[in-house]
Amino acid sequence: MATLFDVPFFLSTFPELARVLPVTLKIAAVAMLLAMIAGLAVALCRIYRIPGLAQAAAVYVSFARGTPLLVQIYLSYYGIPVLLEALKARYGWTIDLSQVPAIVYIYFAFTFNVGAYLSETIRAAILAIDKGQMEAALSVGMSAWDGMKRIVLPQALAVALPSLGNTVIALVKDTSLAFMISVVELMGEARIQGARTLRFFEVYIAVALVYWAVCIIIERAVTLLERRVRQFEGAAAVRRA
Amino acid sequence: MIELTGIRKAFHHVPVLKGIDLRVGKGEVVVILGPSGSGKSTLLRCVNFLERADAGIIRIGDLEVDAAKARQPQIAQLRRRTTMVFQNYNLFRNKTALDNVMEGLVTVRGVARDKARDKAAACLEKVGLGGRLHFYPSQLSGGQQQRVGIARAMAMDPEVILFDEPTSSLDPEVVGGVLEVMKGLARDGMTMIVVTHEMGFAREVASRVVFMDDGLILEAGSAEEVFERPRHDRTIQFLQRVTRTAQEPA
Repeated sequence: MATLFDVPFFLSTFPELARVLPVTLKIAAVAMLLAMIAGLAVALCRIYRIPGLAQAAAVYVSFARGTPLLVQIYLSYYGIPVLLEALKARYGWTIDLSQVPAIVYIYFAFTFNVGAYLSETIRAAILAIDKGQMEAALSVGMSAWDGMKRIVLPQALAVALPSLGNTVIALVKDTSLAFMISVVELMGEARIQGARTLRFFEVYIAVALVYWAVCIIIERAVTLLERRVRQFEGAAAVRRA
Repeated sequence: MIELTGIRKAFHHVPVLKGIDLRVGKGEVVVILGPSGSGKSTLLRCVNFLERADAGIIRIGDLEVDAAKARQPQIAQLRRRTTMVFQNYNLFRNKTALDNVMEGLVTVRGVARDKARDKAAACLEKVGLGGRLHFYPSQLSGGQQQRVGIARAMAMDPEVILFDEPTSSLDPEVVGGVLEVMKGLARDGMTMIVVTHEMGFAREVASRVVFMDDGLILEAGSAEEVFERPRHDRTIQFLQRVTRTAQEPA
């Protein structure tokens, strides 16, 4: 009778998973970075009610939050090439779409999805900062952009950080969907290993532990970062002064 | 010299300023008095375009700006010639006292950091906060924060400092310290427009006192003229009410 839990095999899966862990981390890091930029742009369009863009941004946020991530991944993977092919034919471009690796569509889909959530986080954080901060910046002659960059956004970051941490953790776990379009990341590797050996239980326990470990590290990092970013709010700095 | 001509402003079709003319000479301290809702703060905020007036001309030195038509570069120029001290201090919360004062020098004036630091430290010394350079606003009392606010405003060497009720959110016992700093500035010849309820300050420091009510200037003159021989009933009523409620530092 087969053993319920094959410990040596269980342990042997970790090096295999560690090998593809960078793929998972890369998807999360790239998507988070691009989504921050997109989210900030979308948030500013809505806060400053830029005609046209503000409405477009609202529709984007609603759509991206109102449709499953998996659907967005499929749309990105199967839809963008079709769109590009049409544009290619029309404008005579010479890019070879078959050369574009699948992970690019994953970057796009995750940025699209996470950007929408982040835009709301960032928008709320900016609106939470007292209007007087921007007024003070303007009153000494700073441009609105400088005031945003140097005064409002650093404070908004402190407000948004806990929520940003949640988003990163959710994102790391959601990268497990990337295998749906054959990008081999943690979950993909786990399924390959499982299918090869038919020991799914060990493999999925192992992959769960790896995700958990990554998320614990992120939680810790966010806590430390939060302490740093919130320094100006008091206590921590008093002790050093 | 600052000259405001025909300043009008309405919020949602409710007129708040109904045509204000005001001249402030170099080195003058003009105190604007008036009941709340009379448009004093709005007038001040129209000078540096924190609010855009619907109509009127704002002239500071050789710079003349038509409020209705002004574009960003003109507004930027105007803001380089003015600074403001706010009722709620509005210190940059993410910056130390020193950085608060340096910020404009570095980002707006392009002053080198070490020179900006020296100047900022000197300004903070002047307002009596030489020992608090590296404190964040959250670690300073209200009175200290407001003195940083004044240091920040004077560091930019503006042609005029706009004071928007600088002592109204302060505890009574620290009001005096802030007023002392303002008196020092006045003695140094700084041009100041001050919205305040501090009658004692007005009496002692103001070159001119302006009484505003319902979006208009009702009365203007020396402190003595306005306080001792007010011509309008509204002014008399207002003065009676404030002198009755505030224990006036003689």
